[in-house]
Amino acid sequence: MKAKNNIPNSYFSLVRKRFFANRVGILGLVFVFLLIFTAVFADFLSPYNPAGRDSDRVFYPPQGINFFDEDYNFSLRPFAYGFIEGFDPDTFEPTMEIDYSQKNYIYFFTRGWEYKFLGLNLDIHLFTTKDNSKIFLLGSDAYGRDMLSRVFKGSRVTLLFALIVVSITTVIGILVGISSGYFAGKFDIATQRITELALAFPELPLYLSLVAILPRQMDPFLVFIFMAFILSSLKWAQLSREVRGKTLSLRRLDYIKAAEALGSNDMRIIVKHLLPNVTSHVIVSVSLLIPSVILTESFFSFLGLGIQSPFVSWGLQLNSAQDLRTIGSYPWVLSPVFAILISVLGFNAFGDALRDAIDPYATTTKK
Amino acid sequence: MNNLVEIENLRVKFNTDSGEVNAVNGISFNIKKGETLALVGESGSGKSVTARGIIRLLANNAVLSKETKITFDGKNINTYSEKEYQKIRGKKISMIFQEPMSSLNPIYTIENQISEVLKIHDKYSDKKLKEKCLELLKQVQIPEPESRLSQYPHQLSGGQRQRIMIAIAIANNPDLLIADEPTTALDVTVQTEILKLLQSLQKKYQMSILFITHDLTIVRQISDRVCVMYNGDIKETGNTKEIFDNPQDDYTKHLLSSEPEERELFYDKNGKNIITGKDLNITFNTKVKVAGRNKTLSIKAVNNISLNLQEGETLGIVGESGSGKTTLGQTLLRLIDRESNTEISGDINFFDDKIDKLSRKQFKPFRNQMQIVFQDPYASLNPRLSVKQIIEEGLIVAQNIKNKKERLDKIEHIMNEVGLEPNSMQRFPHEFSGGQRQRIAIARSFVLNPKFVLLDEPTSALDLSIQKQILELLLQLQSNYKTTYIFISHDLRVIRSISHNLIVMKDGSILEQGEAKNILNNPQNDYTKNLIKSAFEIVY
Amino acid sequence: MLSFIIRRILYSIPLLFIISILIFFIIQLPPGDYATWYVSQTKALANITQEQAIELTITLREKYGLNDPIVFQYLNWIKNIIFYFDFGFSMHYNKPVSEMLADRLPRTLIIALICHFFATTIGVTIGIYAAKNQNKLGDNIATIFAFLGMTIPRFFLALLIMYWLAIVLNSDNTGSMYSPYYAVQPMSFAKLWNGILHIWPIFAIAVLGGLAYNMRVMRGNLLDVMRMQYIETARAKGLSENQTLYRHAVPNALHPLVMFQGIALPYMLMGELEAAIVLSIPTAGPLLVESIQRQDTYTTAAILFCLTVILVIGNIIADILLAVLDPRVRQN
Repeated sequence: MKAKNNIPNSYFSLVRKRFFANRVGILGLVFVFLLIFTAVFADFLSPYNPAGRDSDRVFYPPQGINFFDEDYNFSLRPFAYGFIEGFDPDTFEPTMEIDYSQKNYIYFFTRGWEYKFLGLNLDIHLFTTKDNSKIFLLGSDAYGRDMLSRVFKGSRVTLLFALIVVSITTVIGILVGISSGYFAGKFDIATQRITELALAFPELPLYLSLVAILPRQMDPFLVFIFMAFILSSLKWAQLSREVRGKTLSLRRLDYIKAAEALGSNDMRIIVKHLLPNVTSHVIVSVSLLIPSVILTESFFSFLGLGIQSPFVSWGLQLNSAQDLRTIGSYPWVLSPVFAILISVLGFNAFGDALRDAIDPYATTTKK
Repeated sequence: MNNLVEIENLRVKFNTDSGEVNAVNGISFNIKKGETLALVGESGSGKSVTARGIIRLLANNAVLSKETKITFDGKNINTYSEKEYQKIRGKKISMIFQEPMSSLNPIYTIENQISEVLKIHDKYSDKKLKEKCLELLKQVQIPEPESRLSQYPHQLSGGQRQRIMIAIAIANNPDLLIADEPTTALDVTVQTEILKLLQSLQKKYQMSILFITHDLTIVRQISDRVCVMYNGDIKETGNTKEIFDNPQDDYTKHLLSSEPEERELFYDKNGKNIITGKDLNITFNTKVKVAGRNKTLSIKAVNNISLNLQEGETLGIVGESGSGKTTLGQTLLRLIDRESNTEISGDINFFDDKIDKLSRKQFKPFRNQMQIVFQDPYASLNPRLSVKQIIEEGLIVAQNIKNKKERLDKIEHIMNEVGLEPNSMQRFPHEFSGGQRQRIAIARSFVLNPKFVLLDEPTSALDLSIQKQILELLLQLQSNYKTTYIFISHDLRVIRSISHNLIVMKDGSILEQGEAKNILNNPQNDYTKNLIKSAFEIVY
Repeated sequence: MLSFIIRRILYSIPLLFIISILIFFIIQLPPGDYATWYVSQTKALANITQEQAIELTITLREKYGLNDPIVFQYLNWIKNIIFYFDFGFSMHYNKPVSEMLADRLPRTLIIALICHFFATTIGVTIGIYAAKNQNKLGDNIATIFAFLGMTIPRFFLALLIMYWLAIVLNSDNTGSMYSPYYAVQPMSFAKLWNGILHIWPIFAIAVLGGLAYNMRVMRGNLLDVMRMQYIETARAKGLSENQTLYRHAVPNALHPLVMFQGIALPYMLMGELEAAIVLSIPTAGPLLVESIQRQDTYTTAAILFCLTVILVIGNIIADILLAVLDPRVRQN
């Protein structure tokens, strides 16, 4: 059976073909891409400054976009109606009524609030409003801040956080896993014990305890960094165990012996032969690791123990929703959870499909 | 009515991701009562699918054509429902499979698994069940049958497991036994025993046997008639003797001629000694847990072996699994000492240099001269590297050739020599067939122009016709480059066809050593005699 | 077999020792200690002078032995745990920690076990169903369901349920284990039912997560096992598809699942903790958060230690189960 076409079918193209046959995987990839895109261009996409408070527009509900007004006049430029705050004399609850006289027009690709991007000072946005008009697609929070803008900003923090944790975890996990699996002997036994130790700790309680070590007044940026380290402290163990397992099974294969027979030294064998064959599994593990990192971080920020303001995290946004009455009266404060859902779903779907594409006949790895 | 099974127009297609694939193209044949019919073919011929079509154990994506007609004992079973078929399976038609290691469920006892096939088809009291199980075990000649009943599959050897499989298959006295390569995964001596067992059981129970195989020797040894299959079609059918003596079809002729032939082999008996091994002893010390305590198990893989090769010679090493032949070979190339807990003693010389005690770094210059080709063409090539990168590695590491053009020239040259298109060097292993991959592996070793190559069962995993091509290639390369070979194999036919001298190994020791022709024509040792019998004996 | 169990247990003891040292070390890390916290509280409320504050700090430290060198403190602590089951003294609640643990831990454990039971049985059943109907509607629905179970943040679910109960249903059965009326009553069926009404959200949330995991693993295992040669042997004997599945495939597919409990159990435990913290149901979770915030050293250390011990025991049980199920492991 000679190869069919003239384009070499590298391992990657095989995997790519199988991956794209999986619709769920493509959906996951789209979501992941969406997340990355939003994170990078967060400021451009946000109509308003995420930190910008507006005491006049506290707890505005999400506004719909209209092209036709109540008299059915068509306006090319979409707009949203404003609100008049009222007061229900019976229940003493504040009410919001649509103010049809107030039209907030949306402008695309216009100037708005200033931000920095790649060192440049820019002020152009995908869409925003002019003058004092405002449109809240996801509503506004207790300080009048635009929920949508904050969700966008939060994506940056979330992604960055996940990336840092994943980087640390991957580097340590691969280093430990490959050397443990390849060199075996006493080194392997020692690292195995340490790995078992790390795996024996219950994650949540340990993180809680470690997070509590951080002084209350610490710079939020440092809190961010330390949290990343704390999460990595246990997660590397799982990855290193998987890498070690894969290394052990690869090590017995003939092509490793063949490389030895050709005179390759250990470093060359690890880098040229083992690593590329292990990488695909690492990528899968990593894309399945990210959702758990996101969920853990969200929970901690929700409790107030994680990301601190002025940084914005989706979990932190949900923190203000802890008051049940808030949820009842202003349910849109829960909207950041959709961002969490999309991200977690995206990475899970992507990682799953990738795993199936890489090893269609893989037996479930021993955990 | 003489025919037990009549098959008309058997057609099977598979629905795969890349479309419909024809596996069996409307073949017709009969199986007579009490006969052994061999279904012979190489991989992809459709023989396994045919067998499974008869007992209807096809995969989910397989489609049996509606035109197919299967008559069993006078009845049209192709119209049977699944339920009706379940009544036949294990009772009228039984099947045994190739892999004894995975054919039995690891978590149930032997008694449980044999009883199961009895209970499905009939009512038995517990007492009767046990009796019947014991009786079956005795029939398949399992030693100590009483103690076997409560044992688990992993406690038995491959040959014993296959006997259990046979016991399960004959438990209900079937009319037809389908055997799908039942001896391929077994050692040669065990193979013979199993074949003899099948023959005796057939006589006793008047069973018909449909025997699927790719091994022509087995076909000659046990079958009455044979069907030769290729690419989903039957090329020729007839009495075994007639087909082998007088093949009509081209493919059959091609297949028969692919058997390794005897030839005249010469080498310079006054040549230099290239490899000498003296008093080689290799022990594996593995830590095991026995009854809860850590113990060290010492296995002597190679027991006091001395050997001597001259330049240009081919030394064949023959033995079954566990004989130590691979360990011996790979130790000569210093590939074993890195495994944990190995003790190696003895002298190894390459020409005049003593190489057994050299460090890894010191040994590196010798890698150039001493190469290896492995058995499994699928495991010996790194799937992530292109052919060019695979062949190139030795040039970079062992010969330190920095000039890219120089390397490229050498790669092109060797690819031509082994019969590969140099244009395909950017491709990856999975795009090639098994035979082509083996050529790549050979190219990888020979591009260094080594003086010595260890061939560790290089053709065992290949189809017969491909085997012949690879053997021819190896002989050609030897004649071009005056390479010395050690050829390890369990297949005596292949060894006979290529070796000047021969070593017979068992349990780490040498049983016989000397000129191949002498040993094969005049074996001294009983074990050697057995091996030769299993490999060459023809019974019609 | 017995020796296997004993060895396994003995093997975990050094592990637990090292963990206890680590835990104790971690607990000591935050700057200040209970004395500092207490004094700062007093300062805020009672308006004492700086000198009085310092004096108070010293007195407190003396009283609670916080002045001894770390090593002594650790040895004292570990000695008390092993020999007397004395986990120290909660400085905040003014009770022996063991009392509080006795109050909260058993509940946490029972809830965890029940959740684990349901998560496993339901998860495995759905997993078998999904594997049987691979790629058909049933499988797809189950897979989506599993996805959701693993994606939705559990604290969010807890929040939603809490909201639904408190605001929508206007129910009184939120927070705490029992309604005030039943809290002081002796145990009865009515009290049990009341308890269930209060804590069912925890079950729902924890089981959902664990179920999804188990389902996917079981499905994967089963699909792998169905490709094995002995499955074909079973069919060749004349077994029906269902018989083959349940007698031969499922038992073999359960093995890796047992090994997998090492991951599933902690995952579910965490889910339980998460839910309990949000819903303020008095189990180990909220107690841990509280004691961390108050820097109540001994309580924190005790809970951490106990949770770890639970997990280690869980792993041992999983290993023993595996040996029971798989004769190969048993006989080595």
